[in-house]
Amino acid sequence: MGYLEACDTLINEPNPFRMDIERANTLRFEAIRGSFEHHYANNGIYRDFCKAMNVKPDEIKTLDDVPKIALITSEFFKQISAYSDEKDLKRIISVPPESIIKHFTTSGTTGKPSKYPFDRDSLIRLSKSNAQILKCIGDVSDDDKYIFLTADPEHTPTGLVQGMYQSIETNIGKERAKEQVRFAVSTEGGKSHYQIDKILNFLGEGGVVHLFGPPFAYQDVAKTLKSSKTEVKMGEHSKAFTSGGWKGRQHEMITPRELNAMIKDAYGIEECNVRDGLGLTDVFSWLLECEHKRKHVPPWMHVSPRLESDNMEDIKIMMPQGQQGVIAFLTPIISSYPAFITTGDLGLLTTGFDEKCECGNIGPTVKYGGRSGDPRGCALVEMEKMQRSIFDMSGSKAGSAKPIDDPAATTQRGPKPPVNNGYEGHAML
Amino acid sequence: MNAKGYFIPEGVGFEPETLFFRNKFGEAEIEAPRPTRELAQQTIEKIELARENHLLGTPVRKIAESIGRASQNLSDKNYYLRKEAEETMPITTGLSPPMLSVGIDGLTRMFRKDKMLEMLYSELGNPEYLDGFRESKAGESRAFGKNLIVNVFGSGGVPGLQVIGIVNGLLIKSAVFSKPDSGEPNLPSIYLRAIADVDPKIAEAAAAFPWKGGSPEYADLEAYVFGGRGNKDAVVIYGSNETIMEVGKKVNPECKFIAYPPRTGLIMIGKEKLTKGNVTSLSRRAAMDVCIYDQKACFSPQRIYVEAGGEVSPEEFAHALSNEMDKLGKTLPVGQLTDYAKARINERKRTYQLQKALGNAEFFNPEGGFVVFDRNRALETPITYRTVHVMPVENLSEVPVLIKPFEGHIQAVGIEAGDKRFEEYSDIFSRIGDTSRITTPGNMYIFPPAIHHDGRRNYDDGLVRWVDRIKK
Repeated sequence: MGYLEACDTLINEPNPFRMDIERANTLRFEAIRGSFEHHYANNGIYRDFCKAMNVKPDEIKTLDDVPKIALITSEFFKQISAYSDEKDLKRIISVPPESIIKHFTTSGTTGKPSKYPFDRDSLIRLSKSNAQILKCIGDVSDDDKYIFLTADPEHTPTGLVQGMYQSIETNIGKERAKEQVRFAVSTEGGKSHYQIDKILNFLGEGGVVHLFGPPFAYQDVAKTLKSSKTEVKMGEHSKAFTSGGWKGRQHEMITPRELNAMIKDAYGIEECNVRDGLGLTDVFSWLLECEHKRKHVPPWMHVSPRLESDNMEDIKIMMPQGQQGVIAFLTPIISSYPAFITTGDLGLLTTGFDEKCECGNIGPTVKYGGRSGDPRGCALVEMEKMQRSIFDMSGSKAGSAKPIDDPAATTQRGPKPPVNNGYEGHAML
Repeated sequence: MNAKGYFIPEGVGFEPETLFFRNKFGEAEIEAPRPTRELAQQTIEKIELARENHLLGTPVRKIAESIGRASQNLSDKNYYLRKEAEETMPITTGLSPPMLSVGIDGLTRMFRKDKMLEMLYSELGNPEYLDGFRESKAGESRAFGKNLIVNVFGSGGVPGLQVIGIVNGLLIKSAVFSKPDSGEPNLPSIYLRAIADVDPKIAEAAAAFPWKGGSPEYADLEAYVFGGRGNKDAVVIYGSNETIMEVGKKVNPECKFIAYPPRTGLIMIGKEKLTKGNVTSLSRRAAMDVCIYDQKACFSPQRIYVEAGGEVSPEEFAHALSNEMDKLGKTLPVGQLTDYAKARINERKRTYQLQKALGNAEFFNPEGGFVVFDRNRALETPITYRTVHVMPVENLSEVPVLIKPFEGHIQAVGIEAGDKRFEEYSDIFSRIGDTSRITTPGNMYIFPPAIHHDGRRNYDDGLVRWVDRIKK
């Protein structure tokens, strides 16, 4: 089976997250190995990089070998978009240049857009894969309705809004999406404001309605509802999907527990139905939480924590389950560029590749740690300004989610102030 | 290794606890008091009383002499407190033992009596204004330091800063309370104990103990230490912008609040100095600037701009720099890298491996460091830990444009150029952002106490109050 066939088999499963584990892993491996072969054969720059990283396709024999695959950095994509001529962008693609039909851009933290080239088939697979994540892990039905606590995609250049809307469109079709989705923010008159009446009217029409937006939007609307003494009680099947973090609003950040409590209080949505999505900018996908607050890796993707080491080769060392490391994402569904990425962010596997989560979906699942800020030294002003986002398509700054563990090399064993501050599993932003 | 991470007046009771530290240099148990509001209150009351009873009446030259003698003792590697510092501080700071030794030597040289008096002359005109009315252009004048200065060190990792805060406060006869970085609590304690060995009465007007800043557990303590100050006091903070903001919210608005945010440094090299005869010396000096304190200091150059057209090309300079950093990596090794730094360095290396494949960069791996020669001149987040970016320019006039995104954070600039261009770029950079120090490569880490840190005098911002008298 060719790798694209393996990808399509996985993506088009009725529920990829309920597949037989062994079958899923076999297809996952075939897809990723084949994808690696494709990029190695067709991308001269990536091939040179692989040689420098001492890896060749024939060394990838089992799923355990996947960590050997050479990982590109998010930083590199930012650089070639921001500082190089267009010719560099053409040199990092793995398909004929004429087959590139679209470039997605992200503003990232330097404010200069990073560009990612897509061919038609990769776009189709991407749309389908994200739609499957929403449907299967989000557990939504085709008749469900949505309120985005944002402006519409035309007026919100953020990938999170566009990606989510596209996922809904893919699942139910363009026409139904127009009927079943509303946007709570109006930008009429050049000023953004929440249209609370619109929200209430749409809820009043009945049916299952889900909310979507960054966490601060939930807080904003909740405050407005409270001040107007308006009570909202959403149905028991309603979900609150969050993503994008507290960009630009870090000073208002609350813990995930506080957020869950606030959403329950303001909207009547139970904690198990508050689902955070971890955006993966460079591979244009996301990891969505199940009801047990575990972020699920789709079976076509390989996500794993790697050893934190300044030796380049050590990035190939996968950390055991439960141990934190630099998170690496590999997805085979993008053929136009090697979507094998590290962003420098940290995380760990909470469920292994051979396990099932309590929700019944197959693993793995990831707990995300964000960045372990290095507070030592005076020469770090740019670190504060230029913290990287992993799902930031609007140019906003990353949030300051705390690490899972304090990885400072000078280890304070105790008495130790509390770490993590309740940011377990929260999207980095 | 056990050590004390606090200095608290005699008679103030506290519950002891132990802070454990471990890294590649060993393990240390640092004794510290359990931080409470009550402890802070009793401590501050005692040091304020000691100031009233003794420090205020001590001639400033005597204070400088006592601190100078303490510094001299600390310069002796056999002195017990020097030994304690050398044994524990590599574990608490992460700096290698040789680097730490260099740092402490630098501090002890800085705080000699003559240097401190030089600083006071520069700041006040005559140090003895602090002792009483002395003749001045206003008739007669005298000066008073704040009753109490609270020093807060949020940045950590660079020894010396904490001592500067203590010494500068004692010299103007202020009681000084220091909150060291909870990750590095030793040095204030060591220095204060050294002063106490020489002159206990002066040391009684100062105190230090650590706690984890911003932790809800210590909200009450911080409310007292920061919020309980009045218009005769000051809070001085060295830290990240976030820490400054957080602490600033807690400080009583009547109290003087002075902040020193993070800064960065850079080097620029003109083609006239890129000669075969100069390149070894130049790269050695630049390497020292980069490697000192593992590039974590506010003056540490993170980027080096090199002009093309000289006998030695910018890329050749990068290679020479790497060679010198390699040598320094063996004699003055890099300290313990945090896991975060390791991950970032790994990321950076792979980025530039890819850029190398595109023909846009070269990189070198000297012992304990990483040198990138980047033709794209990408504006990347500094990692410190001796990771330095060398960028080629066609003309030095490009540099002020290239540094625009971060010009507001530049503190120190090292310029290696002919006399005329040195003057020219000194003038240009002195007008840019907050640049406050211009020197030549190899001198970025060397500065007298009288320097205008961050462009300000030590006692600007209202730390000293003047009284003038005109007798008729």
